[in-house]
Amino acid sequence: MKVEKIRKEFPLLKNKIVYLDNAATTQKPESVIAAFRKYYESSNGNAHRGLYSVSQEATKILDESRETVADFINAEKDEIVFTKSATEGFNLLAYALESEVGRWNHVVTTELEHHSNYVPWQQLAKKTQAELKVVKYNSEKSELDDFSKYVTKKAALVAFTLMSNVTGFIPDAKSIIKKIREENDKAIIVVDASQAIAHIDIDVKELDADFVVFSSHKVYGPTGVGVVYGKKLLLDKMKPFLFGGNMIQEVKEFESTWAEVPDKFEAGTLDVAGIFAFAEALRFLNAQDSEELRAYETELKEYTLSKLKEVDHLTVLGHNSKNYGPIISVLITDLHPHDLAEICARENVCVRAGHHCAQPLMKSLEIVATTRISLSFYNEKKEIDKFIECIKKARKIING
Amino acid sequence: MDELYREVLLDHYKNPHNKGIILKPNIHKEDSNPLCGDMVEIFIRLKGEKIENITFEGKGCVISQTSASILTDELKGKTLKDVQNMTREDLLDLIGLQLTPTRVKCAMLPLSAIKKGIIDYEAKK
Ligand SMILES: Cc1ncc(COP(=O)(O)O)c(C=O)c1O
Repeated sequence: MKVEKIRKEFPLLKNKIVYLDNAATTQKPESVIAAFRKYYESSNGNAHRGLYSVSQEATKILDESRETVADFINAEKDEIVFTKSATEGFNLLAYALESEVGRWNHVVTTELEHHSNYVPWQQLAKKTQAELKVVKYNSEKSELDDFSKYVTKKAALVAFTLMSNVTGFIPDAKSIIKKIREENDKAIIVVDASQAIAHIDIDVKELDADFVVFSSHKVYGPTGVGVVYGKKLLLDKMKPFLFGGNMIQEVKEFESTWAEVPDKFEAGTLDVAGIFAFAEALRFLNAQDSEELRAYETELKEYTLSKLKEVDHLTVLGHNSKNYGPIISVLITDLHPHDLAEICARENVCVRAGHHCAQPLMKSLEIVATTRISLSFYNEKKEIDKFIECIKKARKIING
Repeated sequence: MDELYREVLLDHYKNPHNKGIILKPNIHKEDSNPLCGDMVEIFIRLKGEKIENITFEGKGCVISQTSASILTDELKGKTLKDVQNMTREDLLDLIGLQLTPTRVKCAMLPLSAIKKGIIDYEAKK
Protein backbone atom coordinates (compact mmCIF):
# COMPACT_ATOMS: atom_id res chain seq x y z
CA MET A 1 0.00 0.00 0.00
CA LYS A 2 1.15 3.55 -0.64
CA VAL A 3 1.21 4.97 2.84
CA GLU A 4 2.87 8.22 1.79
CA LYS A 5 -0.08 8.97 -0.44
CA ILE A 6 -2.74 8.44 2.20
CA ARG A 7 -0.71 10.29 4.83
CA LYS A 8 -0.83 13.39 2.67
CA GLU A 9 -4.60 13.51 3.19
CA PHE A 10 -4.12 14.06 6.94
CA PRO A 11 -2.87 17.60 7.62
CA LEU A 12 -1.89 16.99 11.25
CA LEU A 13 0.49 14.21 10.29
CA LYS A 14 2.64 16.77 8.49
CA ASN A 15 3.80 18.03 11.89
CA LYS A 16 6.53 15.39 12.26
CA ILE A 17 4.41 13.69 14.83
CA VAL A 18 4.48 9.93 15.31
CA TYR A 19 0.87 9.30 16.16
CA LEU A 20 0.33 5.88 17.73
CA ASP A 21 -2.74 6.61 19.86
CA ASN A 22 -5.45 5.95 17.31
CA ALA A 23 -7.61 4.04 19.77
CA ALA A 24 -8.01 7.29 21.72
CA THR A 25 -8.96 9.27 18.64
CA THR A 26 -7.99 9.18 14.97
CA GLN A 27 -6.62 12.05 12.91
CA LYS A 28 -8.90 13.65 10.32
CA PRO A 29 -8.49 13.79 6.56
CA GLU A 30 -8.57 17.16 4.80
CA SER A 31 -12.03 16.47 3.35
CA VAL A 32 -13.50 16.10 6.86
CA ILE A 33 -11.95 19.35 8.02
CA ALA A 34 -13.15 21.08 4.84
CA ALA A 35 -16.68 19.78 5.39
CA PHE A 36 -17.14 22.16 8.33
CA ARG A 37 -16.27 25.17 6.23
CA LYS A 38 -18.48 23.96 3.42
CA TYR A 39 -21.41 23.42 5.76
CA TYR A 40 -21.15 26.76 7.54
CA GLU A 41 -20.48 28.69 4.34
CA SER A 42 -23.41 27.39 2.39
CA SER A 43 -25.85 25.25 4.34
CA ASN A 44 -26.10 26.49 7.91
CA GLY A 45 -29.65 26.76 9.17
CA ASN A 46 -31.47 24.93 11.92
CA ALA A 47 -32.52 21.55 10.55
CA HIS A 48 -36.27 20.81 10.72
CA ARG A 49 -37.12 24.35 11.76
CA GLY A 50 -37.29 26.75 8.82
CA LEU A 51 -39.00 26.87 5.47
CA TYR A 52 -36.22 28.95 3.98
CA SER A 53 -33.52 27.37 1.88
CA VAL A 54 -30.59 26.98 4.26
CA SER A 55 -32.75 25.32 6.90
CA GLN A 56 -34.09 22.97 4.28
CA GLU A 57 -30.55 22.42 3.10
CA ALA A 58 -29.48 21.50 6.66
CA THR A 59 -32.41 19.10 6.96
CA LYS A 60 -31.43 17.45 3.69
CA ILE A 61 -27.78 17.18 4.75
CA LEU A 62 -28.79 15.59 8.03
CA ASP A 63 -30.98 13.11 6.20
CA GLU A 64 -28.34 12.19 3.65
CA SER A 65 -25.66 11.88 6.31
CA ARG A 66 -27.89 9.55 8.29
CA GLU A 67 -28.21 7.43 5.19
CA THR A 68 -24.44 7.34 4.67
CA VAL A 69 -23.96 6.19 8.27
CA ALA A 70 -26.72 3.58 7.95
CA ASP A 71 -25.19 2.22 4.72
CA PHE A 72 -21.78 1.95 6.34
CA ILE A 73 -23.09 -0.70 8.75
CA ASN A 74 -25.89 -2.03 6.52
CA ALA A 75 -28.67 -0.55 8.67
CA GLU A 76 -31.85 1.31 7.74
CA LYS A 77 -31.94 5.09 8.01
CA ASP A 78 -34.53 5.20 10.79
CA GLU A 79 -32.45 2.81 12.90
CA ILE A 80 -29.69 5.41 13.34
CA VAL A 81 -29.82 7.76 16.33
CA PHE A 82 -27.22 10.51 16.66
CA THR A 83 -25.79 11.32 20.08
CA LYS A 84 -22.76 13.33 21.11
CA SER A 85 -20.56 10.29 21.78
CA ALA A 86 -20.59 6.54 22.24
CA THR A 87 -20.67 7.22 25.98
CA GLU A 88 -23.88 9.18 25.64
CA GLY A 89 -25.23 6.34 23.52
CA PHE A 90 -24.71 3.77 26.27
CA ASN A 91 -26.26 6.10 28.81
CA LEU A 92 -29.24 6.68 26.53
CA LEU A 93 -29.76 2.92 26.31
CA ALA A 94 -29.30 2.31 30.02
CA TYR A 95 -31.94 4.95 30.71
CA ALA A 96 -34.41 4.13 27.96
CA LEU A 97 -34.29 0.38 28.58
CA GLU A 98 -34.87 0.67 32.32
CA SER A 99 -38.42 -0.70 32.08
CA GLU A 100 -37.05 -3.91 30.51
CA VAL A 101 -35.11 -4.75 33.67
CA GLY A 102 -36.62 -5.90 36.95
CA ARG A 103 -35.48 -7.14 40.34
CA TRP A 104 -35.56 -10.76 39.22
CA ASN A 105 -33.39 -10.07 36.16
CA HIS A 106 -29.71 -10.22 35.39
CA VAL A 107 -27.74 -7.55 33.55
CA VAL A 108 -24.64 -9.02 31.92
CA THR A 109 -21.45 -7.24 30.89
CA THR A 110 -17.78 -8.28 30.73
CA GLU A 111 -14.45 -7.56 32.37
CA LEU A 112 -13.06 -6.50 29.03
CA GLU A 113 -15.23 -3.41 28.71
CA HIS A 114 -14.39 0.26 28.55
CA HIS A 115 -16.02 2.05 31.52
CA SER A 116 -18.64 3.51 29.19
CA ASN A 117 -20.02 0.04 28.41
CA TYR A 118 -19.71 -1.06 32.04
CA VAL A 119 -20.70 1.65 34.48
CA PRO A 120 -24.10 2.46 32.85
CA TRP A 121 -25.05 -1.24 33.22
CA GLN A 122 -23.64 -1.47 36.73
CA GLN A 123 -25.72 1.55 37.71
CA LEU A 124 -28.81 0.27 35.88
CA ALA A 125 -28.57 -2.99 37.84
CA LYS A 126 -28.24 -1.01 41.06
CA LYS A 127 -31.23 1.16 40.29
CA THR A 128 -33.49 -1.72 39.28
CA GLN A 129 -32.08 -4.09 41.94
CA ALA A 130 -31.22 -6.55 39.19
CA GLU A 131 -28.12 -8.68 39.57
CA LEU A 132 -25.01 -7.64 37.63
CA LYS A 133 -23.17 -10.57 36.06
CA VAL A 134 -19.66 -9.95 34.79
CA VAL A 135 -18.21 -12.33 32.19
CA LYS A 136 -14.62 -13.03 33.21
CA TYR A 137 -11.61 -12.49 31.01
CA ASN A 138 -9.31 -15.48 30.98
CA SER A 139 -5.85 -13.97 30.79
CA GLU A 140 -4.06 -17.27 30.15
CA LYS A 141 -6.13 -18.12 27.13
CA SER A 142 -6.63 -14.39 26.42
CA GLU A 143 -10.31 -14.74 25.76
CA LEU A 144 -13.67 -14.09 27.33
CA ASP A 145 -15.18 -16.85 29.39
CA ASP A 146 -18.06 -18.84 27.89
CA PHE A 147 -21.11 -16.57 27.89
CA SER A 148 -23.45 -19.49 28.52
CA LYS A 149 -22.15 -19.63 32.10
CA TYR A 150 -23.59 -16.15 32.67
CA VAL A 151 -26.59 -15.86 30.38
CA THR A 152 -29.73 -17.65 31.57
CA LYS A 153 -33.42 -17.04 31.10
CA LYS A 154 -33.08 -14.31 33.70
CA ALA A 155 -30.83 -12.13 31.55
CA ALA A 156 -32.61 -8.95 30.52
CA LEU A 157 -29.63 -7.41 28.79
CA VAL A 158 -26.16 -8.46 27.66
CA ALA A 159 -23.50 -5.90 26.71
CA PHE A 160 -20.06 -6.64 25.31
CA THR A 161 -17.36 -5.16 23.12
CA LEU A 162 -16.48 -6.03 19.54
CA MET A 163 -12.84 -5.08 20.16
CA SER A 164 -11.01 -4.38 23.41
CA ASN A 165 -9.50 -0.91 23.58
CA VAL A 166 -6.72 -2.30 25.81
CA THR A 167 -5.59 -5.55 24.20
CA GLY A 168 -7.23 -5.37 20.78
CA PHE A 169 -8.98 -8.71 21.44
CA ILE A 170 -11.93 -9.40 19.09
CA PRO A 171 -14.52 -11.68 20.69
CA ASP A 172 -16.34 -13.98 18.27
CA ALA A 173 -19.44 -11.79 18.39
CA LYS A 174 -21.57 -13.68 15.90
CA SER A 175 -21.31 -16.96 17.73
CA ILE A 176 -21.70 -15.28 21.13
CA ILE A 177 -24.89 -13.60 19.97
CA LYS A 178 -26.18 -16.84 18.49
CA LYS A 179 -25.56 -18.62 21.77
CA ILE A 180 -27.29 -15.89 23.77
CA ARG A 181 -30.32 -16.04 21.48
CA GLU A 182 -30.50 -19.82 21.82
CA GLU A 183 -30.48 -19.59 25.58
CA ASN A 184 -32.74 -16.58 25.90
CA ASP A 185 -34.43 -14.99 22.93
CA LYS A 186 -35.71 -12.06 24.97
CA ALA A 187 -32.35 -10.76 26.17
CA ILE A 188 -31.44 -7.40 24.66
CA ILE A 189 -27.95 -7.44 23.18
CA VAL A 190 -25.83 -4.28 23.10
CA VAL A 191 -22.41 -4.24 21.46
CA ASP A 192 -19.68 -1.64 21.70
CA ALA A 193 -18.24 -1.03 18.24
CA SER A 194 -16.16 2.00 19.27
CA GLN A 195 -12.84 0.35 18.36
CA ALA A 196 -14.12 -2.22 15.90
CA ILE A 197 -15.71 0.37 13.62
CA ALA A 198 -12.30 1.53 12.36
CA HIS A 199 -10.85 -1.93 11.79
CA ILE A 200 -13.48 -4.53 10.92
CA ASP A 201 -16.51 -4.60 8.65
CA ILE A 202 -19.74 -4.39 10.57
CA ASP A 203 -23.00 -5.59 9.08
CA VAL A 204 -25.71 -5.12 11.67
CA LYS A 205 -28.07 -7.51 9.91
CA GLU A 206 -25.56 -10.32 9.94
CA LEU A 207 -24.40 -9.52 13.46
CA ASP A 208 -27.95 -9.54 14.85
CA ALA A 209 -27.21 -7.43 17.95
CA ASP A 210 -30.12 -5.25 19.07
CA PHE A 211 -27.95 -2.17 19.55
CA VAL A 212 -24.57 -1.16 18.18
CA VAL A 213 -22.85 1.91 19.60
CA PHE A 214 -19.81 3.90 18.42
CA SER A 215 -18.26 7.36 18.07
CA SER A 216 -17.40 9.29 14.93
CA HIS A 217 -14.05 10.50 16.21
CA LYS A 218 -12.55 7.01 16.34
CA VAL A 219 -13.25 6.43 12.67
CA TYR A 220 -11.69 9.56 11.15
CA GLY A 221 -14.72 11.79 11.78
CA PRO A 222 -14.97 14.76 14.14
CA THR A 223 -15.56 14.73 17.90
CA GLY A 224 -19.05 15.49 19.16
CA VAL A 225 -20.94 12.84 17.20
CA GLY A 226 -21.92 9.38 18.39
CA VAL A 227 -24.15 6.73 16.87
CA VAL A 228 -26.65 4.31 18.33
CA TYR A 229 -27.94 1.76 15.87
CA GLY A 230 -31.05 0.03 17.22
CA LYS A 231 -33.57 -2.42 15.87
CA LYS A 232 -36.61 -0.40 14.90
CA LEU A 233 -39.10 -2.37 16.99
CA LEU A 234 -37.10 -1.75 20.14
CA LEU A 235 -36.46 1.91 19.38
CA ASP A 236 -40.21 2.39 18.87
CA LYS A 237 -40.94 0.81 22.22
CA MET A 238 -38.37 2.71 24.27
CA LYS A 239 -39.03 5.83 26.28
CA PRO A 240 -37.14 8.99 25.30
CA PHE A 241 -33.91 9.96 27.04
CA LEU A 242 -33.92 13.74 26.75
CA PHE A 243 -36.95 16.01 26.52
CA GLY A 244 -37.27 19.27 24.60
CA GLY A 245 -37.32 20.48 21.04
CA ASN A 246 -37.45 18.22 17.98
CA MET A 247 -38.51 15.09 19.88
CA ILE A 248 -42.11 16.18 20.25
CA GLN A 249 -45.26 15.27 18.40
CA GLU A 250 -47.57 17.37 20.52
CA VAL A 251 -47.28 19.21 23.83
CA LYS A 252 -50.43 19.90 25.84
CA GLU A 253 -50.45 21.58 29.21
CA PHE A 254 -50.05 18.39 31.22
CA GLU A 255 -49.25 15.74 28.61
CA SER A 256 -46.92 15.30 25.68
CA THR A 257 -46.51 12.78 22.92
CA TRP A 258 -43.28 11.92 21.18
CA ALA A 259 -42.09 12.22 17.63
CA GLU A 260 -41.17 9.16 15.57
CA VAL A 261 -37.80 7.43 15.84
CA PRO A 262 -35.08 8.69 15.40
CA ASP A 263 -36.34 12.19 16.30
CA LYS A 264 -37.72 10.84 19.59
CA PHE A 265 -34.12 10.36 20.77
CA GLU A 266 -32.65 13.51 19.27
CA ALA A 267 -33.90 16.30 21.50
CA GLY A 268 -32.32 19.70 20.94
CA THR A 269 -30.31 21.02 18.02
CA LEU A 270 -28.00 18.35 16.68
CA ASP A 271 -24.39 18.89 15.66
CA VAL A 272 -25.38 18.87 12.00
CA ALA A 273 -22.01 20.25 10.86
CA GLY A 274 -20.28 17.44 12.75
CA ILE A 275 -22.67 14.83 11.39
CA PHE A 276 -22.04 16.11 7.87
CA ALA A 277 -18.28 15.93 8.45
CA PHE A 278 -18.70 12.42 9.86
CA ALA A 279 -20.51 11.33 6.69
CA GLU A 280 -17.59 12.87 4.78
CA ALA A 281 -15.19 10.65 6.78
CA LEU A 282 -17.21 7.59 5.80
CA ARG A 283 -17.17 8.71 2.18
CA PHE A 284 -13.40 9.02 2.48
CA LEU A 285 -13.21 5.44 3.72
CA ASN A 286 -15.64 4.16 1.12
CA ALA A 287 -13.40 5.60 -1.57
CA GLN A 288 -10.43 3.50 -0.39
CA ASP A 289 -9.83 -0.14 -1.07
CA SER A 290 -10.88 -1.39 2.34
CA GLU A 291 -9.32 -4.82 1.91
CA GLU A 292 -6.01 -3.20 1.17
CA LEU A 293 -6.28 -0.94 4.23
CA ARG A 294 -7.15 -3.86 6.50
CA ALA A 295 -4.36 -6.02 5.10
CA TYR A 296 -1.89 -3.20 5.67
CA GLU A 297 -3.06 -2.68 9.26
CA THR A 298 -2.58 -6.39 9.91
CA GLU A 299 0.88 -6.25 8.38
CA LEU A 300 1.76 -3.28 10.61
CA LYS A 301 0.44 -5.11 13.66
CA GLU A 302 2.53 -8.19 12.86
CA TYR A 303 5.58 -6.01 12.29
CA THR A 304 5.05 -4.27 15.63
CA LEU A 305 4.66 -7.56 17.47
CA SER A 306 7.83 -8.92 15.91
CA LYS A 307 9.80 -5.81 16.90
CA LEU A 308 8.42 -5.88 20.44
CA LYS A 309 9.49 -9.48 20.78
CA GLU A 310 13.11 -8.34 20.49
CA VAL A 311 12.82 -6.05 23.52
CA ASP A 312 13.99 -7.48 26.86
CA HIS A 313 11.66 -7.66 29.86
CA LEU A 314 8.65 -6.78 27.77
CA THR A 315 5.30 -8.60 27.74
CA VAL A 316 2.52 -8.06 25.23
CA LEU A 317 -1.00 -8.55 26.58
CA GLY A 318 -2.74 -11.24 24.56
CA HIS A 319 -2.08 -11.37 20.80
CA ASN A 320 -1.66 -15.14 20.93
CA SER A 321 -4.05 -15.63 18.01
CA LYS A 322 -5.29 -13.82 14.92
CA ASN A 323 -8.37 -12.51 16.74
CA TYR A 324 -6.80 -9.17 17.56
CA GLY A 325 -7.03 -5.72 16.06
CA PRO A 326 -4.09 -3.33 15.77
CA ILE A 327 -4.15 -2.30 19.43
CA ILE A 328 -1.25 -3.49 21.53
CA SER A 329 -0.66 -3.06 25.26
CA VAL A 330 2.74 -3.79 26.74
CA LEU A 331 4.19 -4.17 30.21
CA ILE A 332 7.87 -3.55 30.75
CA THR A 333 9.26 -4.71 34.06
CA ASP A 334 11.80 -1.96 34.57
CA LEU A 335 9.88 0.95 33.01
CA HIS A 336 6.75 2.50 34.46
CA PRO A 337 4.21 3.31 31.70
CA HIS A 338 4.15 6.98 32.68
CA ASP A 339 7.89 7.35 32.39
CA LEU A 340 7.97 5.61 29.03
CA ALA A 341 5.05 7.63 27.62
CA GLU A 342 6.65 10.85 28.84
CA ILE A 343 9.98 10.10 27.21
CA CYS A 344 8.11 9.11 24.02
CA ALA A 345 6.26 12.43 24.17
CA ARG A 346 9.56 14.29 24.25
CA GLU A 347 10.45 12.57 20.99
CA ASN A 348 7.05 13.50 19.51
CA VAL A 349 5.91 9.90 19.73
CA CYS A 350 2.31 9.73 20.97
CA VAL A 351 1.50 6.60 22.95
CA ARG A 352 -0.85 6.09 25.83
CA ALA A 353 -0.07 5.14 29.42
CA GLY A 354 -2.65 4.28 32.03
CA HIS A 355 -5.63 2.05 32.71
CA HIS A 356 -7.41 3.06 29.46
CA CYS A 357 -10.76 3.42 31.24
CA ALA A 358 -10.83 -0.32 31.80
CA GLN A 359 -10.27 -0.77 35.53
CA PRO A 360 -12.22 -4.04 35.78
CA LEU A 361 -9.79 -5.56 33.25
CA MET A 362 -6.75 -4.08 35.03
CA LYS A 363 -7.93 -5.60 38.33
CA SER A 364 -8.54 -8.95 36.70
CA LEU A 365 -5.03 -8.94 35.21
CA GLU A 366 -3.60 -7.67 38.52
CA ILE A 367 -1.90 -4.74 36.86
CA VAL A 368 -2.47 -1.02 37.23
CA ALA A 369 -1.43 0.42 33.92
CA THR A 370 -0.03 -0.46 30.52
CA THR A 371 1.64 1.39 27.69
CA ARG A 372 -0.57 1.13 24.63
CA ILE A 373 0.10 1.70 20.97
CA SER A 374 -2.78 1.61 18.53
CA LEU A 375 -2.31 1.72 14.79
CA SER A 376 -4.01 3.13 11.73
CA PHE A 377 -3.47 2.60 8.01
CA TYR A 378 -1.59 5.90 7.93
CA ASN A 379 1.16 4.65 10.23
CA GLU A 380 4.52 3.55 8.86
CA LYS A 381 6.95 0.88 9.90
CA LYS A 382 9.59 3.50 10.61
CA GLU A 383 7.24 4.99 13.20
CA ILE A 384 7.16 1.67 15.00
CA ASP A 385 10.96 1.64 14.87
CA LYS A 386 10.98 5.07 16.46
CA PHE A 387 8.82 3.81 19.32
CA ILE A 388 11.19 0.88 19.86
CA GLU A 389 14.08 3.39 19.93
CA CYS A 390 12.18 5.31 22.60
CA ILE A 391 11.93 2.24 24.79
CA LYS A 392 15.68 1.82 24.56
CA LYS A 393 16.26 5.49 25.22
CA ALA A 394 13.92 5.50 28.21
CA ARG A 395 15.67 2.50 29.63
CA LYS A 396 19.01 4.22 29.25
CA ILE A 397 17.83 7.46 30.84
CA ILE A 398 16.03 5.87 33.74
CA ASN A 399 18.01 2.78 34.49
CA GLY A 400 21.36 4.00 33.28
CA MET B 1 20.01 15.79 28.85
CA ASP B 2 16.31 15.60 29.36
CA GLU B 3 15.24 18.22 31.91
CA LEU B 4 12.52 16.07 33.45
CA TYR B 5 14.83 13.19 34.02
CA ARG B 6 17.94 15.15 34.91
CA GLU B 7 20.69 13.61 36.96
CA VAL B 8 19.61 14.81 40.40
CA LEU B 9 16.19 13.32 40.02
CA LEU B 10 17.35 10.03 38.67
CA ASP B 11 19.87 9.86 41.46
CA HIS B 12 17.00 10.05 43.92
CA TYR B 13 15.12 7.41 41.93
CA LYS B 14 18.01 4.98 41.80
CA ASN B 15 19.26 5.66 45.32
CA PRO B 16 16.25 6.89 47.20
CA HIS B 17 16.83 8.67 50.49
CA ASN B 18 14.85 7.61 53.57
CA LYS B 19 13.54 4.46 52.01
CA GLY B 20 12.50 1.82 54.53
CA ILE B 21 10.15 1.38 57.42
CA ILE B 22 10.09 2.71 60.98
CA LEU B 23 9.00 0.27 63.65
CA LYS B 24 6.23 1.70 65.82
CA PRO B 25 5.76 4.96 63.94
CA ASN B 26 3.49 7.70 65.33
CA ILE B 27 2.07 8.26 61.88
CA HIS B 28 1.68 5.60 59.22
CA LYS B 29 -0.24 6.08 56.00
CA GLU B 30 -0.48 4.37 52.66
CA ASP B 31 -1.84 6.10 49.59
CA SER B 32 -1.99 5.36 45.91
CA ASN B 33 -2.91 6.95 42.64
CA PRO B 34 -5.45 4.65 41.00
CA LEU B 35 -4.85 6.25 37.62
CA CYS B 36 -1.36 4.93 37.24
CA GLY B 37 -0.90 2.72 40.25
CA ASP B 38 1.82 4.74 41.95
CA MET B 39 1.98 3.75 45.61
CA VAL B 40 3.65 5.22 48.70
CA GLU B 41 3.61 4.26 52.34
CA ILE B 42 4.79 6.87 54.83
CA PHE B 43 6.25 6.31 58.32
CA ILE B 44 6.78 9.20 60.76
CA ARG B 45 8.37 9.19 64.20
CA LEU B 46 7.62 12.33 66.21
CA LYS B 47 9.48 14.10 68.98
CA GLY B 48 6.94 16.51 70.47
CA GLU B 49 5.44 18.37 67.53
CA LYS B 50 8.54 17.84 65.40
CA ILE B 51 9.25 15.16 62.85
CA GLU B 52 12.22 13.27 64.19
CA ASN B 53 12.36 10.72 61.44
CA ILE B 54 10.39 10.09 58.30
CA THR B 55 10.71 7.24 55.81
CA PHE B 56 8.77 5.76 52.92
CA GLU B 57 8.18 2.59 50.99
CA GLY B 58 6.67 2.59 47.54
CA LYS B 59 6.72 1.80 43.90
CA GLY B 60 5.77 3.71 40.81
CA CYS B 61 7.07 6.16 38.27
CA VAL B 62 10.19 8.28 38.59
CA ILE B 63 8.25 11.40 39.57
CA SER B 64 6.28 9.92 42.48
CA GLN B 65 9.23 8.05 43.96
CA THR B 66 11.65 10.93 43.55
CA SER B 67 9.17 13.29 45.10
CA ALA B 68 8.96 10.99 48.13
CA SER B 69 12.74 10.89 48.42
CA ILE B 70 13.20 14.68 48.19
CA LEU B 71 10.20 15.46 50.38
CA THR B 72 11.21 13.16 53.23
CA ASP B 73 14.66 14.82 53.21
CA GLU B 74 13.04 18.22 53.48
CA LEU B 75 10.58 17.37 56.24
CA LYS B 76 12.98 16.08 58.84
CA GLY B 77 12.94 18.46 61.83
CA LYS B 78 9.83 20.28 60.61
CA THR B 79 6.64 20.55 62.66
CA LEU B 80 3.34 18.96 61.66
CA LYS B 81 2.01 22.47 61.18
CA ASP B 82 4.79 23.21 58.68
CA VAL B 83 3.71 20.18 56.72
CA GLN B 84 0.05 21.14 56.75
CA ASN B 85 0.99 24.57 55.42
CA MET B 86 3.02 23.18 52.56
CA THR B 87 1.30 23.82 49.21
CA ARG B 88 1.50 22.20 45.82
CA GLU B 89 3.64 25.11 44.63
CA ASP B 90 6.06 24.66 47.55
CA LEU B 91 6.46 21.03 46.62
CA LEU B 92 6.97 21.71 42.92
CA ASP B 93 9.54 24.40 43.78
CA LEU B 94 11.31 21.91 45.96
CA ILE B 95 11.48 19.31 43.22
CA GLY B 96 12.27 22.07 40.73
CA LEU B 97 10.25 20.79 37.80
CA GLN B 98 7.70 22.01 35.29
CA LEU B 99 5.12 19.25 35.17
CA THR B 100 2.01 18.58 33.13
CA PRO B 101 -1.19 18.21 35.19
CA THR B 102 -1.12 14.41 35.00
CA ARG B 103 2.40 14.29 36.33
CA VAL B 104 1.66 16.85 39.07
CA LYS B 105 -0.60 14.18 40.54
CA CYS B 106 2.36 11.79 40.63
CA ALA B 107 4.50 14.38 42.38
CA MET B 108 1.79 15.24 44.91
CA LEU B 109 1.17 11.67 46.01
CA PRO B 110 3.71 11.53 48.87
CA LEU B 111 2.67 14.93 50.25
CA SER B 112 -0.99 14.05 50.16
CA ALA B 113 -0.25 10.74 51.92
CA ILE B 114 1.63 12.58 54.67
CA LYS B 115 -1.15 15.14 55.08
CA LYS B 116 -3.80 12.43 55.28
CA GLY B 117 -1.65 10.60 57.85
CA ILE B 118 -1.43 13.74 59.98
CA ILE B 119 -5.20 14.21 59.84
CA ASP B 120 -5.71 10.62 61.04
CA TYR B 121 -3.14 11.17 63.80
CA GLU B 122 -4.74 14.42 65.02
CA ALA B 123 -8.18 12.80 65.00
CA LYS B 124 -6.93 10.01 67.26
CA LYS B 125 -5.27 12.36 69.76
C1 LIG C 1 -14.02 0.46 23.56
C2 LIG C 1 -14.51 1.85 23.81
N1 LIG C 1 -15.79 2.07 24.12
C3 LIG C 1 -16.28 3.30 24.33
C4 LIG C 1 -15.49 4.42 24.27
C5 LIG C 1 -16.07 5.76 24.55
O1 LIG C 1 -16.05 6.58 23.45
P1 LIG C 1 -16.37 8.14 23.59
O2 LIG C 1 -15.37 8.68 24.55
O3 LIG C 1 -16.20 8.68 22.23
O4 LIG C 1 -17.75 8.26 24.11
C6 LIG C 1 -14.13 4.25 23.98
C7 LIG C 1 -13.25 5.43 23.93
O5 LIG C 1 -12.24 5.56 24.52
C8 LIG C 1 -13.64 2.94 23.74
O6 LIG C 1 -12.34 2.73 23.44
